[in-house]
Amino acid sequence: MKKELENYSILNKEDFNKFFNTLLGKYNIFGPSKSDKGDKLNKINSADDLMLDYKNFKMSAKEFFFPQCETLLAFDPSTGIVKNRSEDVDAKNDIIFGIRPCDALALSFFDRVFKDGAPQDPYYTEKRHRSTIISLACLEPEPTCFCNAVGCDVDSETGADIILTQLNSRYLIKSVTEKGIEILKHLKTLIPATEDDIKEKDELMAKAKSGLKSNVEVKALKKKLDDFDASFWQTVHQKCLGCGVCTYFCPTCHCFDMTDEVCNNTGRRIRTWDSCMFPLFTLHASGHNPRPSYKERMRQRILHKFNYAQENYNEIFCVGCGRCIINCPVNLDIRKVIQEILEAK
Amino acid sequence: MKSIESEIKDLIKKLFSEKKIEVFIGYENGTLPLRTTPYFVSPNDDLDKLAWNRFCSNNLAVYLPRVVAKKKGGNSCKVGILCKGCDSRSVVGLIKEKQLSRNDVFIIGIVCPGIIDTKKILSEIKSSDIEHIDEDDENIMVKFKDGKKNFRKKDHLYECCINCEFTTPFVYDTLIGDGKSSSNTITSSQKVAEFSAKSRQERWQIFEQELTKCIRCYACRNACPNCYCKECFAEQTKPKWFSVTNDLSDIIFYHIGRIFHQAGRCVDCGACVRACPMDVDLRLFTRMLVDEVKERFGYDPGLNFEEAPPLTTFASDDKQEFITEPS
Amino acid sequence: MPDFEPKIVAFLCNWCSYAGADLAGVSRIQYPTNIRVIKVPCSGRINLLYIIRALQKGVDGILVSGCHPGDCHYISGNLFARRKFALMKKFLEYIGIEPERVQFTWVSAAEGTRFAQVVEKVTNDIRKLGPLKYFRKNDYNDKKCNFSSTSENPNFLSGAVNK
Repeated sequence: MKKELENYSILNKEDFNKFFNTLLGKYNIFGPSKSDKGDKLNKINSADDLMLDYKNFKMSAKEFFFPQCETLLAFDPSTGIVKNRSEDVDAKNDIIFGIRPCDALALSFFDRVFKDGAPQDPYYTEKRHRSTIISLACLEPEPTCFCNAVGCDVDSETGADIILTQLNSRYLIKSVTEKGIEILKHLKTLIPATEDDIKEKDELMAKAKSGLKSNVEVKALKKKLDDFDASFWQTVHQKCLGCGVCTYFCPTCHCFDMTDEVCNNTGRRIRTWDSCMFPLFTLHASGHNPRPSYKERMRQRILHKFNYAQENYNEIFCVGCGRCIINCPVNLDIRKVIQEILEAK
Repeated sequence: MKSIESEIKDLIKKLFSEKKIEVFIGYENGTLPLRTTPYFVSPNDDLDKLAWNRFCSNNLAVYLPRVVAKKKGGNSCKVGILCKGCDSRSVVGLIKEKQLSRNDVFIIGIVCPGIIDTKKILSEIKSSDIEHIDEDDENIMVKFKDGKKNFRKKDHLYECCINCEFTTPFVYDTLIGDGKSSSNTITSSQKVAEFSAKSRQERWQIFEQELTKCIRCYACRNACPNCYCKECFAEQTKPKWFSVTNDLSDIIFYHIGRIFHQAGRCVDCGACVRACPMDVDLRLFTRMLVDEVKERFGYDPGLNFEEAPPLTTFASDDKQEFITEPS
Repeated sequence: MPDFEPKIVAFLCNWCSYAGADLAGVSRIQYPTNIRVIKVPCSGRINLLYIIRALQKGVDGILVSGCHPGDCHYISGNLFARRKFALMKKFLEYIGIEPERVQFTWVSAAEGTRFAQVVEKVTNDIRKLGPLKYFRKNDYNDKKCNFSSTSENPNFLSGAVNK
């Protein structure tokens, strides 16, 4: 029992600002705060800017590591200079503070794609190495959350280095990785946790889990999806408008496009988000498009998340955050799509 | 509302049995509170799910070109569609612009009482956990986790519905609902007037501020029935009009291009605004063109088949006060 | 801004305004050298995208000129154009672009003097306004190029808009 408590510590709420400011001195901290673009991850300059009573913020945490538009290199033919992105590095490392466990799990999927495999993506990897993820367990999931159905949970630890749970008047802090332990070392504001704290956490988590009302069952899905030409594909896409909302908001969607932009003899190579829902995504130079209609594009999105990801990474590339459900202009609900596929003969 | 719903269902059943239509596009209740979602009915579906209520916000005309085109090749196919005033104007627009033939659609027109803005109601409720919704003629009663609240329907309409002049479809095959003309008297947009009165710098600043939110998901374009181009200028590569980045300059380029492309065609259905996940107030800019077209050319799009769209015709005495004369 | 010389793109129709500019030239009429002429078949060919692309790529103002109404080589091209121009002008002004930045006029093949006068007026107008900065896309030389480094750029917008 003692051993288990080793990774836990307690932070009293009145000490939070002190704790946070200590971290601010050593790291660049990014956390949820209000902005023009809705609640999202922003740079935090004081503990007061931080907003920790959110349910989940609008844009997922992926845009921090995988920005919508990222300059990879820039060139100026007149001087012969080609400048690579990785040349400018900030001395301070980053902390991503207070993202939800689902977003942290999604980052672990990004790691599988961009960092852990070969070839490794240097732009992503560099940012990932510099940063520590501190996630915040969910106490009150939204009606659109279905993380329990896809192998995530309100207190899922995968992808996070440290996980915080808001208890009554204090935070329970658990360091999950070596990186997390390293950061929390020598912090005087922390006191050891007791078994009562853990008990309180377990009760809160059980209550939060009971708030997840989704009854989606994805175990049987893979077999259904192996049938590429199944008849249900004819109907599930019908109301899709073909916009990029679901993919842009998705914390696990990672498809991108690369473009060279030239202006007045100088230029840059950029990487931008792309979406399998756009016809241009697969359009060949010849004019042929292997995914010519909404049906094929919708099929691709579902298969990539629920089938190909299982084959390639043994994971489901959906964390159940519900952003695609909240933001879809026609209320095309992924839970319902899964249900329809499962019910199809 | 119950009676209208069953009236629609009976009509659809009749249309299917007479083989007048092969698909019907209507609404069903959505998975989110206070939302509906488009519903594609095929002949053998039971119509239990079909819904008509004050939350039927989507403009279904956007689906017509692709549904009609898909069924073509063999015999011509008819699609039935439920149309509010604005939706029917979109259908007329599509027919006028030769994206459809009148014979391909069976329009069930419905007198629209104004659609309720879900976001307006949800913003007044702290909790997203909605348990029960009830309504009477005047109010929507929402019961949520920590309490309940009444919302007057009249005060929670979409902005485009507040300014709507044509709640009753002009073009339809059958009309459901009493054909009483709209009680709306505020047909010009207050917001547009207020915006025009601001200084140039302020206007540009607001324009920029709104568009800073844009993430270029193209939901506004894809939700718009008028945006049926096979290849949008935003995605053209020969010529490549502007870059794919999320630089404000490129975002502005896209929106100027798209909004102006709607000049004289936009029916002010508000589909783009509702589709936007970032709440960009696009209507502030599209509506100005609607008003300008009406004032200058006396044209309201989508009311009939005869009148030529304003930019496809001209008059020899069109106003030209904007022409630069050497001083 | 006394030293500022604006860059102006002039879209001239092939049949009247381009010939008008030519006449101004052969008649040796003096006018400012700020315009860069792009010949189009007809003023009806003008698309708003041409105008905003030019503005985005570094031009300070636009002049569009066609045949006088009634004189179009294609009978009615400029009459269609007139309707479009009216809306363009109103719309660009509405969103906050100075109306003097984008100007429309008619110049016939015989009006060399008028062409010179119009160019003079447009150039003066735009010179007074100064460079158009708020919509332009920058050069990407290595100083201005904004790598979307997380620490440099908290909003993750690699904005290249020059404010």
